[in-house]
Amino acid sequence: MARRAHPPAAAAAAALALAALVGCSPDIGNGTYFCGPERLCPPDQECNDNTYTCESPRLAERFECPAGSTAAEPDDTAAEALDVGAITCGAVLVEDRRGCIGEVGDVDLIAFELVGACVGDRPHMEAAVRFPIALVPLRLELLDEEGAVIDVAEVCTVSGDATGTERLCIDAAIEPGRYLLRVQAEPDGPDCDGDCHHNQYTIEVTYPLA
Amino acid sequence: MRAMPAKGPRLVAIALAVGCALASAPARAQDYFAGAGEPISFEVDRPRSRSDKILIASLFGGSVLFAGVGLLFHLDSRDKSDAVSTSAGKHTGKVYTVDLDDARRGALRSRNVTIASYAVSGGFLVGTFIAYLITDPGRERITVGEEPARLSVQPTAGGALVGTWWRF
Repeated sequence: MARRAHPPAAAAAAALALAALVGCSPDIGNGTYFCGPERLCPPDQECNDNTYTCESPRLAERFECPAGSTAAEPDDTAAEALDVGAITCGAVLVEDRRGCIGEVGDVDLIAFELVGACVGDRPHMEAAVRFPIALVPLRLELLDEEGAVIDVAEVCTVSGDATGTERLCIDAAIEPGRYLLRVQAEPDGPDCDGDCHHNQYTIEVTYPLA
Repeated sequence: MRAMPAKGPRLVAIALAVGCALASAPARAQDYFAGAGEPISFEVDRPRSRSDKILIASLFGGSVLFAGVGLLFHLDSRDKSDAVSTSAGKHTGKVYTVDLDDARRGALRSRNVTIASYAVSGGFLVGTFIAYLITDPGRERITVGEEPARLSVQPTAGGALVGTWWRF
């Protein structure tokens, strides 16, 4: 009885096994993820600092402060702080204002004043800063007129947030007076060994009565 | 009174058939018994040795084992790839975290193990096939009916059992 091998069958089996392996390689499209901390992206992609998304290296841009975000510069000292005026009870004082921490040591200061007591269940000042996770994390502080720190913002990013950003919030009951909000890079925050020690942000300040 | 069927033609037909059969029987019987006295030959598969069977079973077992390992890593790789993979142009709204990067690395690692396991499994399978062919003991021709008749005597209680065989 003649016996012989079946090369076509073996080749077909091998081809089938290789075809089955096609779905086993992670395939990540350009621009489908926000960059992680310190510009973390898949190996074949790079972080676009301005859109903070993982892109092909060809499309990745280096960081530039967004247009209008440096209009208040210089605002690094109490004397140079951007003065947004007096708080109106129950109103929005600053609404999604864009800012930028462009270099090491850069600080943005916003000054405001609470003139008189507001009537309500729980009148308080709320300030929130939102910034991309990809670059150096920021720090938001509430200072009194002398520059002493009253409060430090805590992370208040909503679970399931799909914006690639972190949110820091301050919720403080304050007495009438002049105050400063200070935005700066988190001291000792991860910054790609100094290569991504910059970030953009938006800030909002309100004074709800309840 | 009912009419009885005629039996004469049927009996004649039966008698003719029996007569023909009896007339041709001696010739056919001679044909049948003519070859009975000659030896009979036929081919049978030789049995494979125990060591050959162990070799083939071991190779095939290795193939199955590595295929199973490959399948496990294959499924793991596919799951991790599905967790990370995206279609270009569809933003996920997710941040590329260290956990996702670990999943991507794990998918690649599992894929490599899968390829290696399938390759080893395929090698064992080919080895099994080759061993099956190489250790094939072939066939042998067996002839019966050439042995001389022997008398067999088996003592029993109070007597003996005597036996032999005949060809006819």
